[in-house]
Amino acid sequence: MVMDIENVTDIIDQNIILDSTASTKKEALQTMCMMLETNGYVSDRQQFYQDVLAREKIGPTGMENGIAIPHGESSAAKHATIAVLKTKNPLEWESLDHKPIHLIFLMVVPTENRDVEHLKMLSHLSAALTHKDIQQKLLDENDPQKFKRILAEAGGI
Amino acid sequence: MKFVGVTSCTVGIAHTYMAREKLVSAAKELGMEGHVETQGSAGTENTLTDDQIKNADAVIIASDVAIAGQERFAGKPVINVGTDLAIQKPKSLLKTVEKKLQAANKL
Repeated sequence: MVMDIENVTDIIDQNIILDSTASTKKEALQTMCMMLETNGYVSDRQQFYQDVLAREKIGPTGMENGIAIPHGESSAAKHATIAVLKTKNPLEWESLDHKPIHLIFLMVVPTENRDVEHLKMLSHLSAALTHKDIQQKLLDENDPQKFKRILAEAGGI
Repeated sequence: MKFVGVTSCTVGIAHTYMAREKLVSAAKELGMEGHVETQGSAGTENTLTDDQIKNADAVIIASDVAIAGQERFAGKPVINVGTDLAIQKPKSLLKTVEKKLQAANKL
């Protein structure tokens, strides 16, 4: 599935920080929760943060090669989106290959009024993120527009 | 080896789809034929057909929750794993299944 750049731009919107200096998992997630509240995607950042942590307890969301995909299914989530944060600092985070995390995709999933097309987009982006070449391109890209373009072109199978 | 699979996870957003992508990519690399259905928050996608199930040597269920439609696989060898294994070691998972089938003369 190849997605339009408009779709990816639409789903990520302004929720992207590629030059973060966050140095802990907590700091990174809280920065993202604040950004989501400021941009109108989350009604209560503290509650959303707690819902993200609840999901973290179920199992590792750190994937491979420094990428993590935490997600919060939350009544504090107003619209489905993906928040992106990249930090040069290695974050301690339980991951499949035990490597520290540098790039976070935080999936925001409302519990009510869910838009199936948006959820599908989150899912297909998750699939795209399993490819090593895509992972590397994203880790190397610091321009938000170009970053979104890589995601749009990646798609999934 | 021909296999069919189903992936599913708790929230149904990320792991379900990553596991499918990994299994399908690994199958291609290993020259296997694999069809994988996702049961996620957006509903069921890539639904397995009766023919795909009938022709499969094995069923691989990579799931962290109970899946729907388990009865479709009656009489087939079913391998149950978590999504994390399918995401992390898809090739070794498929190779192990193939070896087990060979050892049991089911290939």
